[in-house]
Amino acid sequence: MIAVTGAGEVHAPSDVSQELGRRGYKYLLPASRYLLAATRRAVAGGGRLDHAPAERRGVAVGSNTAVREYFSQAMTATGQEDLSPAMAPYFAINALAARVTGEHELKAFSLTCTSPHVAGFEAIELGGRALAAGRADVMVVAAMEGTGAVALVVEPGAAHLPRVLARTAFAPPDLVASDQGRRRLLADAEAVIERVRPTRVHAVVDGSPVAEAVIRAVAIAGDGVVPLVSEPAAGGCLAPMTLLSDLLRTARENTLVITATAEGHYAFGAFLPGVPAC
Amino acid sequence: MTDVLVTGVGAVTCQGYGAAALSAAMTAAAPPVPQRLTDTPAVMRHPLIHRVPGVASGAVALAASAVGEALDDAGLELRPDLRAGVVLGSCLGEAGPDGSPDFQVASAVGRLLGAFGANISVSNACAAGGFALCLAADLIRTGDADVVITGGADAYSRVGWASFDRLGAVDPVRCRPFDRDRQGTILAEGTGILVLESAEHAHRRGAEAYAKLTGSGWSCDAHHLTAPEPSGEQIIRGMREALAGDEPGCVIPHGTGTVLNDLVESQALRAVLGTAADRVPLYSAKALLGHTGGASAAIGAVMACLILRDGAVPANVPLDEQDPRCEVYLPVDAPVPLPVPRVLVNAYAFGGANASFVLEAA
Repeated sequence: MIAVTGAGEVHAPSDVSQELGRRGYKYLLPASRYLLAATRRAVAGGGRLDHAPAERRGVAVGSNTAVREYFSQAMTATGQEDLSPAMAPYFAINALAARVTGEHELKAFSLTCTSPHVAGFEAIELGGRALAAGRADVMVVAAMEGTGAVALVVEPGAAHLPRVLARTAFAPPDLVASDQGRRRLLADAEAVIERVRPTRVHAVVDGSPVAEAVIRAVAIAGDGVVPLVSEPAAGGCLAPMTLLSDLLRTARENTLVITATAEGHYAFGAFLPGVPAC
Repeated sequence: MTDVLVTGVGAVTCQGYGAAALSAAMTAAAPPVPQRLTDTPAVMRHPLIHRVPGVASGAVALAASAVGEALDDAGLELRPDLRAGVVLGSCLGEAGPDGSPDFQVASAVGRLLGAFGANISVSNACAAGGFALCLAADLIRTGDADVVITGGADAYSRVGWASFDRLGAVDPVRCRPFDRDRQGTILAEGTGILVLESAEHAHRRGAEAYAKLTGSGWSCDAHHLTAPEPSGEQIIRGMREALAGDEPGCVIPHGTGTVLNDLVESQALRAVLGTAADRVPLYSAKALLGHTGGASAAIGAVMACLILRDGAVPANVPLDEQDPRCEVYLPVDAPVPLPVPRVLVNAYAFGGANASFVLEAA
């Protein structure tokens, strides 16, 4: 469980050029610009990065499709001059996080994770684990795609602050309906329900058998809590992170967000409101 | 806190299939000859590659081969009740129809093994395998898994190779880290897979271990998109955290063959090791295999296990002339005894993402 001190998000077709400034951003891919803007908004909204020295500030970013635009262009290049040396580093998806590490001096570590559709929650989970392991004191956890970005500034969880939790896992799609699959999913769902005790459950899923199985497991474990199901608005890992970010602004009660995908990945993200100190 | 052991290894490189082929190549110390790419739409100044022998296949097929080998080596069968995980690193993933990466190497391995549980895809470019190994160990230390299949895999991608070439980072001759005349690296295909296991789980089933993972240190330069921060401040911190005050018996450096990377890493090693830098042998993996991207640190970990098993550091691939500014010890004439059973592996990446970790005799 990690505390959120600031949240920011940006979605296409927002033009963030004014926000970022006139110079120095021309050769960034859209996802990188969105990540920069979302992180600035998270910090401006109260995200506490500065109280930790640079070497104790980290970042974990999840993404699936952020480099697709670059690859599409580069695949059809027929000459050296068709590839810009300024853009060429973006064959490596983690390079898209480089500017945000420089701008906020995030020197503890920079981690990029890419599991299909769950990568945003994966960033929260791995970030939380890194904080618990003492690899940083404060960090940015984020999702970025070519359609936008969501960034949260987090630190080890003080109960008076809003908190988030994420757990990711995998179920082989051809085993998900087996007895073994049902048992594993139910055990995972029970564990997260026990920990979060949600009064609401949202599901951002793709309609696959894996997604149906996860929703079924949560419905059983939740003893009557019916997930509110929606389909992700776009590809990649942004939709569940956007929903979690919305909950940080609007929710007043423990809320669980499920995401799952045909490839076999599923994840639970949870929002818990801060508890006022006595 | 539980010890994290390596109980099985697997590898596929340009030197062949299997850790035994890798071990034989380390003993032979012969530099591989780069092949010319035949992917005609790709226009490159230096279209060079170290391919895995045989029919071209993607990162998933390479990883699957090494996973099978590593599990056999560990004598482990993934039963349904095993608390297992999969954590794999890849820079380029498996290329989709439009050439872009789908980042599903870990997913594919999970499906292949029928493995429920943690399944994490790490894409920290050329350090991905190093981060994956550390994350896998964290899963075991926190009690979230007893066994984790980890490592990295990368294979040919037109865009990946063309981009690297466009950056002017390819050596037209061969990959020759720390050589006075080095001009860059040569990208290669490959995979390295390790079975990590909690000491309790390994002992319960009587498994033998190559090594235990004793330390790790992460850092980020927060400096430049591709170039290392010249003072090496953050990679020094990462190495120191991984070593926790102990002296290594061998270092497998990141050592890509690019001019600045090798220089900064050499200077950082001297800052960490002090005068011991004159006697702690380096094993320059990429001179033997080329640069396997997201697999490179995982293959480095496999090599570290083989070095710990054999108690000796193989002779490096000979250099034409070592760069005098790179003041590191690269034995080239013959293997040298491993003075201390502890190997430091460095992994660095675009975006200044750095991971160092230490493997010790179990």
